[in-house]
Amino acid sequence: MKYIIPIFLLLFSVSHSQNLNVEFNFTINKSNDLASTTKKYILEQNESKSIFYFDLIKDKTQFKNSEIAEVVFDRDSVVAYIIGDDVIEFFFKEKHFKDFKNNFQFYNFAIGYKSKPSYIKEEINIFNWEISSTEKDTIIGGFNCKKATTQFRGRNYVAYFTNELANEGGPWKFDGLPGFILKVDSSDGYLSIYATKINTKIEKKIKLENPYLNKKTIAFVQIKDMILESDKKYVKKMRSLPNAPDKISINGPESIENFGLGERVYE
Amino acid sequence: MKKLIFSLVATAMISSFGFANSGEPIKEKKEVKTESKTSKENNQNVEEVKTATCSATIGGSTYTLEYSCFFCWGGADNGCKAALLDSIDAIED
Repeated sequence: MKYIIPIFLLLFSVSHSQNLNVEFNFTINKSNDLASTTKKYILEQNESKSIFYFDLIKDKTQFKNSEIAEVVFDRDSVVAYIIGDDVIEFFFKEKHFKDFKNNFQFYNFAIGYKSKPSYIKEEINIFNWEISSTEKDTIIGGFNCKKATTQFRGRNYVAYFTNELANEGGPWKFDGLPGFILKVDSSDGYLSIYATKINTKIEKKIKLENPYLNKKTIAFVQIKDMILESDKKYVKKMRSLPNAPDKISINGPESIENFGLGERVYE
Repeated sequence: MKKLIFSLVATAMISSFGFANSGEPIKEKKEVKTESKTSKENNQNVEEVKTATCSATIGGSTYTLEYSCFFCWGGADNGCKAALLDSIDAIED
């Protein structure tokens, strides 16, 4: 009997440090519906790290209105699409890396297609979750999931997580629950993420390295300054044109997170 | 990209000639708002000032540009297309 418990614990820990490969549908419903997308991401995770990435930048079917989306230009790491008459969206290659042991995540961010990407470093545990103790478990992809809610940078979220896959992890920044997050919805309908394919039978151990090692990183709060700096350059260039506008107003970027920016008017 | 800009600018120019020759205004699309304002000074009509407002969503940000009337000759729609391309080119970090 005294050997049974340690063996059970060993099996339990092995089952919770397995390699994962999970595909997610990541839907953003923008205020201008022409820019709405459902992008396909992949999350790979091992016992200490994960990477959540998007590289299907040439697949225009990810636009809600894909039948009217046309490529404006196509480069290795970015493709720009025009949807309708006045909406331009960029698909960048994205990589979001998490180092669970050190509680850090790193990801790339860019404003324009010509811009050099910036690399953001943040802690992983930035959510203040409230786990529902009353609701029955929800089954997602065959796994029992518990419900949790949080408020994060301007939106309210409901997430579903399971402790049958891992003790941590989730798509995008979502993390910090005692299990792996398989589904997230914002209450305002702006964001919806759900797992479409869960692969736990991975023979080889997944090796993950920080893709932004030795890159200069900035903090999340610095994104606001970066956008304002980009505004200045844009206004300067537009004013230097022969047909310069008399007034320029910029609103956004509309994003999952609130950057703390209102409308900027340049006259 | 350059070809695209060139072709749109060319379209705008051709359209503006069309306007001048035929005397018929170019049809403007719904997205383009043109306003006509009359200002009075000393109880006399001094000038008519028109503005064209072009709005575009680029990379999640909405850019609204207000132009004086001269911009509208070739049809504000064509002008807005050119402004959209100018904007894409002008946006960077």
